Amino acid sequence: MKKKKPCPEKFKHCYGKNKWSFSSLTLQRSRFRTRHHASFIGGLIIIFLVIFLSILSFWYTPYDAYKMNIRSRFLPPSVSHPFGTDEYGRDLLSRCMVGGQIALQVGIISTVIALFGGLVVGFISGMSNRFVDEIMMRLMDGLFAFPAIVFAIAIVSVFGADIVNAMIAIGIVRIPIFARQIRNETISLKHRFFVIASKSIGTRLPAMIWKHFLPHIGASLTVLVTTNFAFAILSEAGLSYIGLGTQPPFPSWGRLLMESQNYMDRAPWLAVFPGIMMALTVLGFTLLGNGLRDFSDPRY
Amino acid sequence: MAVSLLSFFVFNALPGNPAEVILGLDADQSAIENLERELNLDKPVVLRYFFWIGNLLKGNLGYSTGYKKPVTQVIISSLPPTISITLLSVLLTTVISFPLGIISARKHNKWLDYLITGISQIGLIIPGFWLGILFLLVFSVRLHLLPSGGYVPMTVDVVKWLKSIILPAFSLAIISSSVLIRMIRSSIIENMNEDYARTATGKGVSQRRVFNKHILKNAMIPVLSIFGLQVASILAGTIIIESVFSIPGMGRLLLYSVQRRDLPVVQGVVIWIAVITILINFIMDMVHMAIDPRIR
Repeated sequence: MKKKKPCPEKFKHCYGKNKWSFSSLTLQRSRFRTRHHASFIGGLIIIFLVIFLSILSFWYTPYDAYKMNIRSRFLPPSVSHPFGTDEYGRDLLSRCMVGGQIALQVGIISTVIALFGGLVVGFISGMSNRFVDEIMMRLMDGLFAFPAIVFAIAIVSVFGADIVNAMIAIGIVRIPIFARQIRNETISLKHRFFVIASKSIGTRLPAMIWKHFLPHIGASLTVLVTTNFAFAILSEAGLSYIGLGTQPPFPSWGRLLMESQNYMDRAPWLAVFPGIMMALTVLGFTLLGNGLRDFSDPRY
Repeated sequence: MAVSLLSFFVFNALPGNPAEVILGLDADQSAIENLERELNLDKPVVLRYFFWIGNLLKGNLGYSTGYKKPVTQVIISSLPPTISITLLSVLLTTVISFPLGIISARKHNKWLDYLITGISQIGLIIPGFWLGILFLLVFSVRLHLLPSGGYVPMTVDVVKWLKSIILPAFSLAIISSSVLIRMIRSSIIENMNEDYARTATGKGVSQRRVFNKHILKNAMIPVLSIFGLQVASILAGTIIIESVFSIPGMGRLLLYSVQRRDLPVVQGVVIWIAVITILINFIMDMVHMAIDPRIR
């Protein structure tokens, strides 16, 4: 007989009265426990900080992020310019804050695209017969076979290099990952009794998806969404770095790194700070994702 | 199959007539029509797709408008730097990640484990190209140890060749090692707690032998598929890292062609990379089948 593993101390709360509930129910009930999860809290703090700085930059930055001032060019980091200044004398901290705006925009828009594409493809694939499922999944495999950055370059090269296209491209690249997870969960839910029962009393498909499927898939989707933010920010930086993402004068982190490379011997700080901002943001989303995964899946 | 369909229709969605692009703005109408007939542009899209697939299978990817050479030739000439960076990086990844992952699993929850997983966490959150920039900053700008870019073919000078590709290869290797180290660690730890490991110890097999013969072998099975994915992502990573170190490989070719709207080349490179990726996955499946008798 297989011995059941004892429940680890830190997930005792997940095994309460209702010990077989997974997914969103677990997430809701354990919400008050989130205080005790270091990774989750750390991630949350970092992300709030980044969001705060980026939103602040709509109204206030220490200096104008676009105004050139030749007299203050290449100033090293100091009290008045914490991150230093660039080749046109623009304050790097201000530019990094505006860059945060762009990074968050990319994260939101591309995640929304990936999520909706994934939901549509995943539900169609999961709810329909084997034949349709097979075709959909092969198409997704095809999309998945392209390394993300290559596919994004292909899309951007055809529709023109600009930030909106980059966002769309990054979103499309991630559809297969969402679609596959949603499909797998839909298929396993399809045969559960409550779904069959609901079907037998005549629930229509949209109501079924809204009431039964989405709440159950929700928890694992939140994890996917969070990690997708990290991916989107890194991809956008990569695309902007090779000049296919954000166009000047907008300072995204990738673009700042690209521009820094010409002045590396004179102003190394230009190459360091945007990268740190980016790494910190990605760290925040990764930690948050890890935390969420722990809550939504008691097996971890 | 799906790859070819997708890439064909993406590139056909392009606004503008390729014939007009090739001949320039002031070409007369009859010349454009002639070229259109030559390139099969007057045929419907579905027919064009089959023409294109036929050519693709013969290894003919079309004609570069920018280089005035067949696309295949252009791509092959840019292949050596990309291949050498990818291979060296895969080698480094193997050398770094397997020992560290195994050490980390053997000492799990000790300080060495925390050190290794902590460092690998850093590798997960920074992009490879930024690591490349930082390496440039330290090794070329500050210490003047290595060249700040460019590529020397292996046939010219082996040492210079190694010097020119070690930094890009290393920065990519660190990123993928950190993914692999975590994978190896968790896979080994999972297998340590399995029943079969306890059985083997119970039978009187020595700890060392249980670890090396039983646990390691089983733990490597899921690691292999991740390894395949990492090889593919290293290949994709070279595209960006090449422009950090200004190395004239496939990534630079792709970027130049995008900027010059030399679409046959872009399409060609994209397809090559997709095909190589599929090939890597296929090889990994084969290896998987060879070492795991359960899925044969």
